[in-house]
Amino acid sequence: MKFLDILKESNRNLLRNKGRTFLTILAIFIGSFVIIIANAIATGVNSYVDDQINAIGGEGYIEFMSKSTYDTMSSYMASMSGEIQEYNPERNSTTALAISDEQVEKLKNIPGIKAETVTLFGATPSVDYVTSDKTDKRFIVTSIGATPSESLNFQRVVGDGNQPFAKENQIEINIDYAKALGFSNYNDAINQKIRFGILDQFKMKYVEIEARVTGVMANGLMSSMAPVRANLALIDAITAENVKYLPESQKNAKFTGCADFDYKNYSAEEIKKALEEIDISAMTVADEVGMFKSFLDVMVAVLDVFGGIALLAAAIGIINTLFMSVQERTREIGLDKALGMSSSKVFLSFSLEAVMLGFWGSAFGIILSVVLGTVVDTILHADGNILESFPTFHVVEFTPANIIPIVLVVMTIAFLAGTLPARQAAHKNPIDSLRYE
Amino acid sequence: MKSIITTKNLSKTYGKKSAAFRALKDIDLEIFEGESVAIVGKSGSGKSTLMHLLALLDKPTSGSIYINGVNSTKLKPRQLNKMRNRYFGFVFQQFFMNANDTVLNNVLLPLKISGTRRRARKKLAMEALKVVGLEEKAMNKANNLSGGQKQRVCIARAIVNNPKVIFADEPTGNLDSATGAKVEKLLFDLNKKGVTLIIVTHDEDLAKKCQRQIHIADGEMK
Repeated sequence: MKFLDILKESNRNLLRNKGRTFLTILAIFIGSFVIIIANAIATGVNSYVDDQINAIGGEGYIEFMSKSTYDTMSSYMASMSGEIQEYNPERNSTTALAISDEQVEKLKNIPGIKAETVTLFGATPSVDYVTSDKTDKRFIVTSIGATPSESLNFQRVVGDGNQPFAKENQIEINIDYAKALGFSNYNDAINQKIRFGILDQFKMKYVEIEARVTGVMANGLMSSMAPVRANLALIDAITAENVKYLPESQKNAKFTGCADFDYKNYSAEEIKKALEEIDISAMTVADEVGMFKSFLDVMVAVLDVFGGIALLAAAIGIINTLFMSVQERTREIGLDKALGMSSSKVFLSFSLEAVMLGFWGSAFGIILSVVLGTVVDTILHADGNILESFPTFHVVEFTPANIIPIVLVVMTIAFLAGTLPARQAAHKNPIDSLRYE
Repeated sequence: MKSIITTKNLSKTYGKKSAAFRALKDIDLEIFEGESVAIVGKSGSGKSTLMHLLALLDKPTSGSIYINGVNSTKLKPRQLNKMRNRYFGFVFQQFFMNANDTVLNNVLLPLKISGTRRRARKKLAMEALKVVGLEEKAMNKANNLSGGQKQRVCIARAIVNNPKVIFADEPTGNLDSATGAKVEKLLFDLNKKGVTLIIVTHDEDLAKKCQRQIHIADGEMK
């Protein structure tokens, strides 16, 4: 018997008892659906997180602060949780020390660090408002990003972006600021001057600093944390204004910084270890999102276990269905064998039925996951809903890589479940089978 | 005359030890090409067991069966399957048809099993249906036929692979005498064209129409 004929025969046999076949497929479908949706969510979130990692500097970017700044932050976190710590003179518990010139020199000499990209920041730059010629309103700016790595990509909608080391003041804004500042067409924002206002606390009047818009960024996790990003010239101009009444010794104190490193030849771990030796704490982007990712992995694993249990129950359903089918078709099997059909072909015929049950169960699982996932994703992105400002984030993402293996696994489980009844059918004796009532 | 089936000391025992039952005891027989042979006996005599052994549907406990001079007990399951599929045709008392399938599909089943191409098997099945006069019923559901028509479809199925031997197990047992006569005529017409016919029956009238009768009682040839 030809394979195609056996396949057709199996398919026809499935359709003989439609109700039973449907229920068996339903059971497989439930298990497959859970697993497919769990993995689609994981893929969606991971790919978004990966996008964000690339957006804020990718593999070759590291942010650092003086160890005492880090210790101060840790002490602060500890006190928030109600813990009173003993004073340790080796550890700066409350006073953040600046990164010294000596440390900077050592830092620049660490193998792998690209010395020319080392950038240091003093006090956190702050402005009171931002405005443009297109609007009479002034808007608060909560934080200004300053990540001058050459390799950065902020998922710009339009514009070439800042030149980090240019002399001119440059600024990138996200789409929300672009709208607020009167550029409903993002293209119009490019090359326009916008103004940052800083209150001079002694003279009680605003000092305005002008910057040229070089790009409009799509909304993302990172751009909503720092919705505007300045180049170094602008950062310097703003901080100079922020610190102008401070004593000279504090004006130039640097507490944090960032640098690019040669990630092709040096691991982030090596760089962090070398920095640790000169009392500088460093963090890669991956460190920052790592915790979130491991949480996600656990969640997906839990869902996979549930789906797996459902599939196991479904497998027993397959065994049951096929045993019934073998019993019903005993005489047919007897006739087929009497007319010369081999045991292996009989086995194949029932196995294929099982595999097809698995295939249809997972296929319907995919269809419903895709439809449901897309609908939910669309609803969440609709105006006024929580994902409105994250157009690049998809709750579920389906790729051949996260669908095909699941289908294959489900078909394999179905096949294995089918081997029991298929074996029984294959071992039937033609005469006894023909006599079966 | 050329021998097509020969048995030597053919025995079949069911069960083991104290529960053992010898259904057939040392049967030696020879069936020649083109013969029509009736295996006659009462129910429980062992005649069906003998037919099953001759048709290679069952394995003897001891002794051997030669098909065209080939010792079938030495053959592998695959070769036995092939031999049944190529050389033999079967007609059963209870028809054994796939009731929900079309007449055509029932007839071409042996060809489907042997892996014949789609077009060729349809053509051969139509020819076989023509022989039994049911070509117009080809697309009907098997279940919608009368008993006599069903048995004629089974005969078509038995001859579709152009077999050397047709085994008919009580072929008219479920039919009234008029339709039974029609089926008998079909079988003997095939025999006249050279097909060896082996009929298992307890119907003495049918048995007498065969050239030779083999009487079985208590597992022995009389």
